[in-house]
Amino acid sequence: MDRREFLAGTAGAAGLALVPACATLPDGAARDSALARGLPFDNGWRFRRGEGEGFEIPGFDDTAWRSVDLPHDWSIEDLPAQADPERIRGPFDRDAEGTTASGYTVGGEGWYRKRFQLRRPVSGRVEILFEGMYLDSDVWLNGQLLGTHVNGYTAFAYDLTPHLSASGDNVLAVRVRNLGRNSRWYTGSGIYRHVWLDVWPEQARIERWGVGVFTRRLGKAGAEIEIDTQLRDIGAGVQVDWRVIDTKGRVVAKATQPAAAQMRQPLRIAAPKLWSIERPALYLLETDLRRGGLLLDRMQTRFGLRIVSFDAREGMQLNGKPIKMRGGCIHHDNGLLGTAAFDTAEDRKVRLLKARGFNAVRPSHNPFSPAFLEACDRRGLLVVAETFDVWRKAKEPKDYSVHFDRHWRDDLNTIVRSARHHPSIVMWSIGNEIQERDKPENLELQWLLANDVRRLDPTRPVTAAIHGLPGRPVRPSEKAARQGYADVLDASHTVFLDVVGYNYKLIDFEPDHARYPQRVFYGSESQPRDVRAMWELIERSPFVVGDFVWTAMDHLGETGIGGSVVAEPEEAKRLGAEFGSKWPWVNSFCGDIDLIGQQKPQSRVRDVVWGLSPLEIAVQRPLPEGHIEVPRGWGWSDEQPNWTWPGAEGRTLAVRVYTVGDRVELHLNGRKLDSKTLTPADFKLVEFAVPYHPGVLEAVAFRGATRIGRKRLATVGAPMSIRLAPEQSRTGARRGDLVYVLVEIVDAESRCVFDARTRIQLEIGGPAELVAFGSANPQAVGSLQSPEAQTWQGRALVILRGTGSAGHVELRAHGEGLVAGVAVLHLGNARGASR
Amino acid sequence: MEIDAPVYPPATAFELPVAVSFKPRLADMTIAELMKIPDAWAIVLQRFPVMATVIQSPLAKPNLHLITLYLVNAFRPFATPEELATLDAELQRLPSFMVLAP
Repeated sequence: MDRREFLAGTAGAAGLALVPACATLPDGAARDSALARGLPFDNGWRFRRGEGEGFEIPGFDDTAWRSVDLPHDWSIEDLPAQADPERIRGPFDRDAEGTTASGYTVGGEGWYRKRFQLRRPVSGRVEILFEGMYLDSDVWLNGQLLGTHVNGYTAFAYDLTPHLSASGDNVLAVRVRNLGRNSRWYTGSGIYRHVWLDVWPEQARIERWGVGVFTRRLGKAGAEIEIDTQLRDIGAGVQVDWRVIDTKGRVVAKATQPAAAQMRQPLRIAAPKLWSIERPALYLLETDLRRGGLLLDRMQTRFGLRIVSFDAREGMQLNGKPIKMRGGCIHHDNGLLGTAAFDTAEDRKVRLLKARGFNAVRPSHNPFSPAFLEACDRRGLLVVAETFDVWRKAKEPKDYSVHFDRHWRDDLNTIVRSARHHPSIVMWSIGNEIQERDKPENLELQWLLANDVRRLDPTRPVTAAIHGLPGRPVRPSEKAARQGYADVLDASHTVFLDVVGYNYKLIDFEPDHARYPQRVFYGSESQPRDVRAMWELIERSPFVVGDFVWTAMDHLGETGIGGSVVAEPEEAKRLGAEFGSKWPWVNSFCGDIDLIGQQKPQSRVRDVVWGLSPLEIAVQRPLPEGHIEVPRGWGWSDEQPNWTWPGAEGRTLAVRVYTVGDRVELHLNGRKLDSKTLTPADFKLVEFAVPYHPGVLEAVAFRGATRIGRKRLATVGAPMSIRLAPEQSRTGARRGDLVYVLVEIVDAESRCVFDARTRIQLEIGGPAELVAFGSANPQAVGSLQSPEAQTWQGRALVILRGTGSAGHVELRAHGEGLVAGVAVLHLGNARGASR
Repeated sequence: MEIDAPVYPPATAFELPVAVSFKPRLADMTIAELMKIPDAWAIVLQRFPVMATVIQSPLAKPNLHLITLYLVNAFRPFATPEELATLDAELQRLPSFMVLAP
């Protein structure tokens, strides 16, 4: 039986048995539970939004509560209807306490309950693992409080064993509270990541996160790795077997040792397949704990063989080859899904980033889900893993600074140990824009955090994201310094870091390199408008190993720091200088990729800067008379790859051509309008002033006499039909499998009608239900979970999930005056079609 | 090719790093430090009156002890590089614009 089928959901108060009772194991001894690691525990919960008491009591009647399957985020769900539609729109509340930071969404308190059958074992052990809940959580089993957790981004586990009922009927209750202003971005609320059960036949086991695998050496003899293993309660007569298995299922290395609490085991893998961005080869390490023929525990760890190095002269190298990090920062939400961390959604984020040429990501400013990191491993995306956004000084009144001193050490331990096996992680960041870092006690904290990370994982460098001044020149002592840097001049805020991230300090890289020539830097955050200047600097500077734009993808919250302001000059300048936009803006709108996964103007420029495209055209949206446009701090002009501007006939429009060429010709309706040359000082941009006439606008780019690119924009016709395009050709049928379908308004020639704002109604037939439906509109327009939504820039996105059984799903999309779109999807099989 | 993985071992014990004297440029002075030198700040406001508003903004205010005029200018341009260089030269001539001792 597939482990995932163990829990096929609950039916009312009766749960399915988790494991066979009294299983007889290979050694002939009866155990009251068999080994079962990683049993899914997501399905069959009951949920109630709102405060309450007594909900942890096992006998409480929760049949009136809503059924939910995890992952779940209640802040993205519609608020109870209010009389004032100007105040409440779907999940968005103009008067929300979190205001712009939370994207006008609401936290509060929520309760979850789940009934399951599992008898208390005589000699075995059962633990529950929560990958993440936002924010403060209390967990009860059968009315007994198991514990409280206050970090919304770290995983934690509880021992269920002593509290399981003798009869086997159990009730788990979880209270989650997301109260006060505790974040600068949208966090979601609830059990937003997976939950798992682990069952052991005895107490002896591999410690949670107790296996780390590190590549020590690559060479002619193969790859040398070192396996770090920690065990608990092992007793006598126990041994550990390690097996490294390749993707073809072959055992390529193995070892056996008598068990000890802490073990270091070297292995060599001949003819290794290395992990890289282009070829992210993975191996599986199986670590078995045995007593004779009895399997006490087995942990499976996916890892990759790679070595990363950083040097101010040689730059960054991956497996001996130079590399620059083409990075983007992202927050952890999944757009229309809120923060619910479905595996499909986490994987989709990585897929979208890779498609846009990103080879690195900075999950900001907290640990992301295991599913996200696994996707980075699988697809080949480097990760700068960040731990904290605050230390002791609050950025928001109720943020993690309230708990920092009591919890940072344990949380750092969890963050590093739980993720150290991921080949994608290349650095650990101990903080983002820590405001109080200049105080002497916080220089010590910088050292303590960095040192703890090095103790837990000495294979990766420590970094932090520095804004403002990096401190005064100092010299560290022999005892305190990083290895090899005693008495080397450095800046006080970075002296204990191995690699330094600079936020928005384009002008400081070169002067600071002159002052501290041993330093390796990267842009940990940069503004979209600096993409060209940033990459000119990076390409000429080995000591700057990459850059991470803020942000690669739009996120909920931090509203309106992107985009632009169009208004009369004085007001435009005033508003443009403000940090962000207030209600009804709900999304940051600063990303290269919008909320539904489509490219935005700055992304096309990045395509040219990074060599994905030799040429891109963008047309400035015509402005109302007397108005100017001021891009916001993290914004971009409203320039679009669009040549359909009704009402603008005869007006002169700014046409911007981004190219790596040295000459551009512009043609309109077959007639050459102009030709311009570019020099390096033009930073890959040339602008034309073109009187607007409908037709075909074409730009042709040359390098010398060679044509290197051609792009056309055509005036499209009136909206005629709705096109549905499923993103995946294969979809599973499980509750956690999602299907994404792009909705586009198209003309008679199937071209997307930019600026079409059409109300769409969905019909769904078959074994699927709607999870989310909406557009990339950065403003609050209503529910994200209704079968009705309006397109924006001609598009919207439907997200479905299976109801648990395979079969055909028919999705229909209707819009007034348009031919309906139809997509047929098959869940649980490869086939699907759309029209 | 033989490649050994770098290691980043923990250090032995914390000791406060020893500060090094240096003569600051304008780019090394935080806005908070400039504001503590009355005649220097008076010159800044005389040349760039907008700074009186900038230091009150929600982004700048909590970070005045970390950001410099150059960084503000990068975010919200108010001066040319030549104007900042001229200001730097003028401040360097002030007796109160001192060497930062350890």
